[in-house]
Amino acid sequence: MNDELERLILNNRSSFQENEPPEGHFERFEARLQKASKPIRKINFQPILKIAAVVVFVLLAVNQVRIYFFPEKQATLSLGSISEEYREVEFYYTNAIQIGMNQWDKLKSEGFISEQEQEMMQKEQEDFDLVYQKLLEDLKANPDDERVINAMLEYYQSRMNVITLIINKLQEVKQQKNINHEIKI
Amino acid sequence: METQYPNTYQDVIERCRKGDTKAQYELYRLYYKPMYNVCLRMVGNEVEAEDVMQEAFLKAFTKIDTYEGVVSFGAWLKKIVINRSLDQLKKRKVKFEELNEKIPDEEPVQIEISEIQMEQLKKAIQRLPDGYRVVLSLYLLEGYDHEEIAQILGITNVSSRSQFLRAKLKLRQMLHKEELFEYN
Repeated sequence: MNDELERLILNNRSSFQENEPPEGHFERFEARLQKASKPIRKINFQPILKIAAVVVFVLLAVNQVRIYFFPEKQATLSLGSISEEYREVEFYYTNAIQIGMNQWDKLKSEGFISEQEQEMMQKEQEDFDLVYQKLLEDLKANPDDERVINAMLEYYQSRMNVITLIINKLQEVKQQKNINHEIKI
Repeated sequence: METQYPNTYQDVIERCRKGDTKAQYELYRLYYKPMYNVCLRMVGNEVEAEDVMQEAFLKAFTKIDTYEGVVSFGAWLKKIVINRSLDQLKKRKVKFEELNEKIPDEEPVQIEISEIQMEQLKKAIQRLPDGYRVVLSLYLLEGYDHEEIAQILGITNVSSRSQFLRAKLKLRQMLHKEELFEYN
């Protein structure tokens, strides 16, 4: 060793080890240690994600199957879905038809309707239903076609008229029967 | 892996391996001072030195399994501290120059030094440019030879030597300016 400055530093090495870190370093380190060692609550997302993926897949598959096997009946599409006015018209007719059918059921339960008449009515209703399905398809294909809309209105009207007519006739028969019965008494 | 180096606090080290936070804190208490001083000499700034030193400890805990006991734990830890310090210096874009010119050694001079002068010497070293201070510290205070310093800093052996000589020269100039040592 031929350098006194080197020797000086080397001989006083220990005095180069005397510096202390700024105050509070223990606390700061403790905090860092806590932070570093704190088991980061590793929610293992992998299985959750897997389950989620499976659920989504199943839902999609079910939906596809549903679409395939039960194609959406255009339940939403009817005369009422064209406009608010038509909705009211449709409501009026369906309501009237329903009232007529309720009366029919009532008369049936009272025994004023024969089995033959019942069959006829059944046949009539089925025919009307077929017409209605056909009209719905036309409406789906041409929602803005006035002719289809008019046909729909005519259909409702005639169905209602037929039922009203039958019910009125039956009511008459019923009344006649009642009068006859009273006379007999 | 069987530990070869007989560390005084081997039990604490073993507990650290198991992730025992208390042992980690204990190890910090045992080694913080020399490690802080290494950091301080390397980065030359108290706040940064503390940050780097603590970072180095945390780093050491995460890779404590790689400590095979070939050298003392302190030496292993110091290497991590030095590497972290160098990373910090790199952020400041400190370059360890490749200097190959021959700088003649100065004539040996006897120096008597008082405690006050020692403080001034320490401060002067602290004020050396980063590159000089690092090489001087690694050589004189951390005890690495030029071969090791060259490896640590990624420079040649010759560069390490010339950088060290320049550092000494600069230090002398600083001390002379402060009239600390009259011999110059």
